[in-house]
Amino acid sequence: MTESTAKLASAISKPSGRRWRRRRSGTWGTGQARLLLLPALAFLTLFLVLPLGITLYNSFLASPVLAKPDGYFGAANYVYISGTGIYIDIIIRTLRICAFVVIFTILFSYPTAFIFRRYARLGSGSAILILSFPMLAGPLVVVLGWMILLADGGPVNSWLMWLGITSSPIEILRSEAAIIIALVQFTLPFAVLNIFNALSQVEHHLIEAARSLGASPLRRFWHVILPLSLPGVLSAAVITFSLAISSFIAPAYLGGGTKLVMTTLISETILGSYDLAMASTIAVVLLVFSLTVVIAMNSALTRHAARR
Amino acid sequence: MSARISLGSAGAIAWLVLIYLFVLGPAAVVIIGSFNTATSFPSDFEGFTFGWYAQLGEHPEFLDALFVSIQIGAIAAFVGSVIGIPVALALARYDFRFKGMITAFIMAPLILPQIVLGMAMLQLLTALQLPATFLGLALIHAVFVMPYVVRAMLSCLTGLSPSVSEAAASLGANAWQRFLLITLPITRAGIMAGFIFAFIMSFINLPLSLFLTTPTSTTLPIRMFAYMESQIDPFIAAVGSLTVIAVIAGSFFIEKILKVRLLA
Amino acid sequence: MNWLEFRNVSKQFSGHLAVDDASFSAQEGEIICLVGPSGCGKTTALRMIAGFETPTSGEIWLGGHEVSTLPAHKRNIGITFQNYALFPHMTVAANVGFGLRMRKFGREESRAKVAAALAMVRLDGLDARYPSQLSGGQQQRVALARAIVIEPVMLLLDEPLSNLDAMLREEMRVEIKEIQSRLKITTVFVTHDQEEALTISDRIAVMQAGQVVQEGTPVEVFERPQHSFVASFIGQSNLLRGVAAAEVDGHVGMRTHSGIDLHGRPIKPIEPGTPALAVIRHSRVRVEKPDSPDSDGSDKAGPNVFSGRVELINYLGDSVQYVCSLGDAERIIATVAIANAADIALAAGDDVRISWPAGDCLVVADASMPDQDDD
Repeated sequence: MTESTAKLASAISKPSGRRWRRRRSGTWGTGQARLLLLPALAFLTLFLVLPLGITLYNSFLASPVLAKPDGYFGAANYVYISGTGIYIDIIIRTLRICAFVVIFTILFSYPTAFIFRRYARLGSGSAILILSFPMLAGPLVVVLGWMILLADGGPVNSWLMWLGITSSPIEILRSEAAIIIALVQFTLPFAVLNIFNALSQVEHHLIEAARSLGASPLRRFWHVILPLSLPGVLSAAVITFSLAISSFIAPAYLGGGTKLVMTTLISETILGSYDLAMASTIAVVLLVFSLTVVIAMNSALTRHAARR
Repeated sequence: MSARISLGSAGAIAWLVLIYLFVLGPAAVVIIGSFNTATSFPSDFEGFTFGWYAQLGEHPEFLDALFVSIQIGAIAAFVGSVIGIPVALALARYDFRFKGMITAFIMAPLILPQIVLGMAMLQLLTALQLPATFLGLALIHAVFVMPYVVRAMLSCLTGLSPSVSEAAASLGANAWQRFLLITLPITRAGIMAGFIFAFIMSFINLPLSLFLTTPTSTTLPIRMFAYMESQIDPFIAAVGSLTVIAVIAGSFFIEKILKVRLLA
Repeated sequence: MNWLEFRNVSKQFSGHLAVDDASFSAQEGEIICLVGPSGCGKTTALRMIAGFETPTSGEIWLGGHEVSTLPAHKRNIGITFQNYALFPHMTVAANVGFGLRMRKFGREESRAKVAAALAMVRLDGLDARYPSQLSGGQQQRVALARAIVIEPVMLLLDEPLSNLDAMLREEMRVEIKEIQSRLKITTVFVTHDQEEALTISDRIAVMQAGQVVQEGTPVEVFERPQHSFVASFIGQSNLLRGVAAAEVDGHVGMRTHSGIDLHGRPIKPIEPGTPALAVIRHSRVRVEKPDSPDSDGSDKAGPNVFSGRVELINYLGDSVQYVCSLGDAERIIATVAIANAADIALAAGDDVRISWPAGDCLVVADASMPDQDDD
């Protein structure tokens, strides 16, 4: 005991002990947390915030197409975009594609997640891993597959003709439909996962309770399962939307050169004419749309969570 | 009653078959096509061949790109891990002010359009009057993959009681010793899973790199993208299939050997 | 000299005061219990002694040194956690040896110390097992061995028995006490179980809402509660609420809200007319048939003698519990030790005479807390 007392005493008298003692303000934990977060915050500030800041700054420089005087700094690019038909068309097309993708993805993924939950063995096993495999394989290979499938003389056209839906091959590639099909397929696994997680959290007891109270399967679904899984649906919609509006490879290949969306417009503007100012402007507009929708949906989610 | 159940499950099975066909079909077409002797797409399956894979030897630019992609992926996953693991520790262990906002900020690269991230990095390099380089490419990939590391690590840490680390502190271990001797070994699976997943996400990514490649540092997706601009043939399908197989192997390793849920 | 001094310590967590100006102390070699309901701040107090939390204000002294802000790893304090917190990736031997490794002990010396510690907790032969291969009781023993092997200046036990089943709990309690007295190690024992606290400790600090409401020996706390919360929380008691009346030959009078007049022993002087709480231990209540002979000469018609009716009988093995109604609204529980089967003389529905000595009826000012059920 005396030996350990001596040890304690020496620990206390060490200068490092004093250093700790001085740090009265704030709790120990917060200081530690700050230290752990510091590298990431610094890294992201340098290589995410700063680049995006420069992008925002550049969006106020004049694009060469506008023939503004040197040293111009203002909203000319934004004015130009909002007054030019093709830019407006592209923005509307982007949002239209996203809306369709969100609707179809949710419509397809909800029943799928529901089946996974109903047959619990599927949900816990490899079934979900296999389903999510395309998101690991990457969009490039998947889009390559769609290019083969949707080609003018490709399998999908053959099936459509065999089913008698059309008599001659129709052009699916280079259409918005092709982009939507590929994006629904690409986002489906993300949405299924989110909805499945939400459904898994609906306690079985609740459903059994509803059952014991005499609720039919349909009413159990409508009054118990669906409302409780809505937050999962909403977060699935958020993810689907942000994946869709950010997607590049699918519109680049399946939309062809004519069906531009905002991401492909950015690459055209840089790779085609190296117009950094205009590309920055489009990027800022894209970010605004993307973040507005994500933040709005997220705050709806938080409000929903707070109410429970 | 039993008839209705079996009818219901038959419907469920039919639905799942259609969904799996829809989701897996495109990649399956690519893999099947890579073994087809036919020289163009689309065409019927004419015969089985490994020939398209052998052609890889005649395309050194693909092998170079593969090498670049592996380097970029490894650097990004490493940097992402070094920075992301402490973040996960902070988020799992501590409560602090603005925690929600800080978390959202750190996870932001997941929802920001990658093409914008790549372009923003290009603008930073331009502003600094630096040429587009390997370094810029690796840095933006690191920014992008860090959230995946944080997520994998968090899923491991939530099962770990903070009192385990506190017990080590009471026994005389300082913060470093606690990390090296307790937290790190216990969360080894999460760290490896995070690294592999981060590598995969970097390896398959195209839009981040689009504006940052140079003739000497072109990633594999960019090389494939450029090739596909001019033609779609079984050779590119073979290259794609190889990446798919590598990624399947990696994710199988994470899920089944490391037993870390990647996606849940 | 006090080995441990917890002086006016407060701990504020974002807006919520977990420990509120709490003070208690322990002599060298003593075992002190922090006891109170969950959320009373006892675990936070323990964590501040361990160094996992820093006090917002106040001081913690250990062996004559102020340690309030000394980091945990420099305090040389052994602690066991409610969930044991064993290192899942290390064997039993490596778990126990971890503290020695941090102290740079040699391999041989370390091995000997680990073996001795494992023998002390009676776990010899399990060195090579992993925590996941042990039962809860065994894990608790490993945690204890790990904490004492470093020869700490102080041992902290956070609810060490709460995750064990009843039989094991008893056994472990005796063992902890044995080990503690053999090592003469000053120990803080946190529990929500007042019975556990009474049996194991040299001193008890009763906590409520972040404050230490009473500190003293088990006998002091049990026999002379200074606070209505202590009176109701420690021991199994009947609680009757009412208003204090005037003093009658050394006893304070009290009228319950249901209109019963009784006499009791005041702990502190109590003003007539103020809200009061009467506390009568279950074991001090006597229940007899109304016509039974007045064996011990107590006054049949004196104060604290009432007629009631047995409503329910709980047979507890060594004792029997009579739940009786008294007047219209009060319920009185009496626990009677059973020496032989003939002692169970009453049946439900019997009219009985209920009484208790005025000296065993504590009357305290009612701090008007939420109604605690008398268990």
